[in-house]
Amino acid sequence: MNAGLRKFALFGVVVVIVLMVAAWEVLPRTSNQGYAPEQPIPFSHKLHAGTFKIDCRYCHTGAYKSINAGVPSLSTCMNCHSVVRTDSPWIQKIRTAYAEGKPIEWIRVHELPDHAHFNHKRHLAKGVACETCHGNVKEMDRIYQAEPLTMGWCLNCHRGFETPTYIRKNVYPEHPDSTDPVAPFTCNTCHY
Amino acid sequence: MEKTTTMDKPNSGKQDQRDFEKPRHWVSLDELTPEYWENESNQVARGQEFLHKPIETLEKIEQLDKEGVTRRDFLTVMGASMAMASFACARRPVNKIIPYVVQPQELTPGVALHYASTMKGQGADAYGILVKTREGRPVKIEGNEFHPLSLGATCARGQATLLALYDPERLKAPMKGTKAGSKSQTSWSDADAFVIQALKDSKKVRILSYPESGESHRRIIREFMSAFAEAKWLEVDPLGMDEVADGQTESYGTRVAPVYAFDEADAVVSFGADFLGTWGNPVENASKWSKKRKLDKASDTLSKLYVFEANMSITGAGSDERFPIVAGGEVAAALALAHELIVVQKKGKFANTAEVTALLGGNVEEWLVKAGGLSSEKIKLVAETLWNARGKSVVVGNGSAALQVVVNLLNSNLDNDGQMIDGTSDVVPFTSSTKQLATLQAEMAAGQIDLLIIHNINPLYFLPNSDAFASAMKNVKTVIAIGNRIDETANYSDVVLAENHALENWGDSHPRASIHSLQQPTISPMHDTRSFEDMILAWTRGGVKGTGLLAQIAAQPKASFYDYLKESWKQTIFTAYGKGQTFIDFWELTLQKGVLVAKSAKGKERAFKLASLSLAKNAVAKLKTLSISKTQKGPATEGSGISLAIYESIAMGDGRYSNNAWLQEMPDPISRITWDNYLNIGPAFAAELGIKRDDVVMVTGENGSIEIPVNVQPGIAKGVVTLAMGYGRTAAGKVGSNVGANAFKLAKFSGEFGLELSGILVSVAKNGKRYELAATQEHNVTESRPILNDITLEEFKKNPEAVMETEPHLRLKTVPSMWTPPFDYDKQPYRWMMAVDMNTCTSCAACVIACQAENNTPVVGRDRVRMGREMHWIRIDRYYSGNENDPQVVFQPMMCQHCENAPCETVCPVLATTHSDDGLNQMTYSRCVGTRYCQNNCPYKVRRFNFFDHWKDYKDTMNMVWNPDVTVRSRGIMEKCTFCVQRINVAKSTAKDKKTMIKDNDLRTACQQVCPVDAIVFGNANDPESKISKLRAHPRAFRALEILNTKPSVTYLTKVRNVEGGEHHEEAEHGHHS
Repeated sequence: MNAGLRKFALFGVVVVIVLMVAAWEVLPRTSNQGYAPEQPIPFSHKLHAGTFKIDCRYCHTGAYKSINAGVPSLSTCMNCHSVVRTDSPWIQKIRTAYAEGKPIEWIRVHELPDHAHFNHKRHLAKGVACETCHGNVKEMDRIYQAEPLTMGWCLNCHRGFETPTYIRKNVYPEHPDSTDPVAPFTCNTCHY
Repeated sequence: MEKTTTMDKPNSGKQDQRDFEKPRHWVSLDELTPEYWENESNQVARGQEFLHKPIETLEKIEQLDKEGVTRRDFLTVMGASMAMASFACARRPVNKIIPYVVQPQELTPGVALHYASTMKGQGADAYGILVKTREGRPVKIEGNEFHPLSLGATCARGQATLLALYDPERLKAPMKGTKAGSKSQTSWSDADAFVIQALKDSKKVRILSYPESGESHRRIIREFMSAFAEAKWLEVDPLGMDEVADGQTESYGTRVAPVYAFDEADAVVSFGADFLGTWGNPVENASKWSKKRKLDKASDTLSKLYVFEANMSITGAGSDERFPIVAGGEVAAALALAHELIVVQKKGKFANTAEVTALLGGNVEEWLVKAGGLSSEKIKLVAETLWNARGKSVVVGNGSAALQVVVNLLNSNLDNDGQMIDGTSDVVPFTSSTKQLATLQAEMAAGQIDLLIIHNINPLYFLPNSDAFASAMKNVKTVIAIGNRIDETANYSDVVLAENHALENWGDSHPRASIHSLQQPTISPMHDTRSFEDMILAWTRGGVKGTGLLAQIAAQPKASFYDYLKESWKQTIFTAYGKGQTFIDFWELTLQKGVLVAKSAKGKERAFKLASLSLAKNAVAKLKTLSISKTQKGPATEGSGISLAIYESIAMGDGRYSNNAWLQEMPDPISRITWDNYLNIGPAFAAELGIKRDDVVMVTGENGSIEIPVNVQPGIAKGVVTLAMGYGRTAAGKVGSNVGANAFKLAKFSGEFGLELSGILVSVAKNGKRYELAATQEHNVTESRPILNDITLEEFKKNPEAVMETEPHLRLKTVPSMWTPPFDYDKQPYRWMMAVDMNTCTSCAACVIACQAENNTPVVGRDRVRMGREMHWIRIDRYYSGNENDPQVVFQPMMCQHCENAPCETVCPVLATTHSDDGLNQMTYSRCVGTRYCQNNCPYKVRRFNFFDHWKDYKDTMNMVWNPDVTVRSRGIMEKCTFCVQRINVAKSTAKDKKTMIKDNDLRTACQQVCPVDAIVFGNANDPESKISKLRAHPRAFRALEILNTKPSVTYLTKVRNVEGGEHHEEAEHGHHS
């Protein structure tokens, strides 16, 4: 190899490394794991779901009947907060918004790309617990994304590689040790 | 190239002498010349997809084409755009979740709700619809299967109404100062104050609108009109069945549009009536007609359809025999047929009636010539068929009252009236007539009208001499326009009141005596708009006197037209049909179903008034034998010129759909041209005139001339040109303005005959310009591989599987395979397959628009269609066969065939297209890198590539039209028909909830659901009980290009023509007149 060519190759390698670093910085991250934005109202799941043991589905009513779990409307908050903690400034904020008919704009934490279709209802129907994907919400003061929610992560469960045992039992009650896939994994299960 | 088959002899002796073999089926006239096939670039062009460079913007292409682009420039452009793309999404965007303040009880985000309603805006005969909404916004329109005029289907225009709802150019508030040229938005209180004052000051008031059949609507307008000394409501519809109703009045004494039993007819003869596409209620007509066009075994009967027409319509294309005639010659053809039946063959009840024989005793030879050179043997054949099907046949016609009288005579003579044609029982009075405009114009010009209310109708566009009407309008003290935009007519108004879209309105319709249909809003008004009825209520509250229920409801401060409607239904319809029910139950049940269908008695036979025949006699005496002057430049003179027919296109109607991009880009079923209208000239006549396709010509009529490009259209007689109406709008909006030319400028209008659209004498002269029409038929053709065949009924009866023995469908006995299927498809619970019946497909294109609405297929615009970049997932290929001046037509809906051995899958370098276990060829957008190898390797050419981010063109409210269940594709992505996999997934989920399997009725694809003739069947081929698994083994079944061993999942049922022994193929050119 002559010197010129070697120099050129070296230059090439440097360029590739620089590009890779730049790409790492610049390109969108595939996972938002750990994302915990500040919400307009510091709603605490720890308090509501943990301390007071309110069922998830009391607020997220769509979870068992729709593709979306849904975020509760203000009227759901007001079911309790028309009498509970009415002195809190945050509750006052909710009450004002409710009276004015202005919805609260929450920051979305768990979000799949538009080309991936996730169906809450089907997962609940197979007994997948909320915590499996959303983490231990009962301990979260501020909600954050506990799991990667990447395609590989989804498929590891669907194909039976890292399926939680309780799900495996739901799917194959007679063969809880089966390593077979527990859910479909053809592309158009999610992508269409 | 394949040889022609031995069974069919499509070529006349003359063509056989050429030293090349003409394809049996062809898509364009060019294919009939040897030069075309010798030219290699034509062969390449047929593949299309690599003809053009993928560059950032179209403007850039145009610019670069001029400068001559180098590859280096090209890479710079690409690089720059990539860099920008990456920076733009360097961080995840912060998205918000905005829940309801109070979530409506019936609504769950993510779950669709369906509301039954009624499609208004189609004229009087509104059909029932089912509107799918997500989170309170309509995302898809389906037909209401309870509604007799819909039966679960819609037309293409009905589908496209959804886009019209989200048209960003709809008026968002009332406008003032339009006439003065200083238009500005105003408030409703100001507009109301102005209108109320004007109403109070007015004595002679005219309301001009499209016909409306809704009882409550009619009632509120009547009650409103009683406030004025002299008020009239003029209902006008340029697309209406005015002449039919006039003919009924002449022949039977009642002005109605009769109901035709196409579903029982063994023979149908149409004189220019495109009843499968645009005439009457096409959805209902096609649905009924198709009942007699299904053919399963040799013993089945097939109805017969003869069409005499000037323009090539889809009815003519779907007919068994079509006779190209002169525009306006329908009456001569009908008379010749009546003569043959009644005088020559002495058949029917009028055979011995002196008046009839006297009328029909004219010079038949001359009539045949006047009609455009019809052969008397053919007329004899038609007469015999009709007589054999007497009491079970239908004759229909489109055009003059004179023609209608002859049509009525034929129907009465054949005992069809009462049996097949109901003009007495299930009909409502026909209220509209374009003739009224002449009186109105005279009254306005004389300054007699104080106030004119124009509701959503646009006479200044569709009147030939609109200048006169416009200057007459200037003599009216106050003109109030009500509509969703400032159109040509509204420009001459004092104030434009912004009206709701039909999907935001309450209303009702009563198109038949037995049908009472309700319209309910599916979204609250998006802008500051009102319904016409609510405007009337507001004016009444403001002090304009109204009577009856109007006064009563207006007195309640918060009541709206909803209360009026409910009360009106309580008083009339509930009283008549609600026995044993409480009103609230009756109302809610009717609202849920969308329609109340009462029992209707069979129609009674009516006495035919012989006196009406004089109308026909006069008309035919006036009809001139055309002498065509090729050199004539100026306006056509008496008896000399070219005969023009102005027809209604499937997409545009009378122009009220102009601003709808879905309809503009929908390829015309016959010409396959988008985004323009054009002058159709037959090949022989075009050759005589020295005119080629894309030549621009001046067409000159009495009132002026228009400039228009030419489409050489097989199947149009010599001396005839045809032109679609609905184009050439000037104030439609960004999409619809200045597209094509306004055909109405060549029409005739008079108080005596109303708006006349056919048989107009014009001259046609080339002006030397060229204009490239954006036609799609030559795109995506299948590498010159013959893809279909059709057979005659006789051949089918001899051997029901005859089609499998003809050339394109030959099957290989044993197929060597190098494939190992990834799944054992037959053992899976589901195997999705589709069947398409080419015998019933009318090419109405409803499926094309339904697919577009369901699957978020973008509109690309005229220039990109020219490049072959249209995005429709389903196209309806039109193939001609036989004589080029009188061809036969086959339609083949073509979508992804979901081949078991899919050629696209093997070439994808990134596994973006793969097979699923239920037999779907899946397209994973997020994996696609846009090599387009799959598109290149697809033998059916059904894959579509996103050259641009087309979604970016969907601005403002148009964004709301996207179906949330389907990914909106971005640039660089391949896409194609998915068999509506989103619907499959919803159906699977529902079936799992019920712990059952999906059955036939649980799941329908968008194209299947909308199809009025049930030509498309979709289902689980692994279920032996499903329709699809039976159709797979149907005698007429074949798979497209099966010889390639792609194993398509789509089955086609071949077209079978009800012609005698295939003689039609060999027939020499007819359709010429001397």
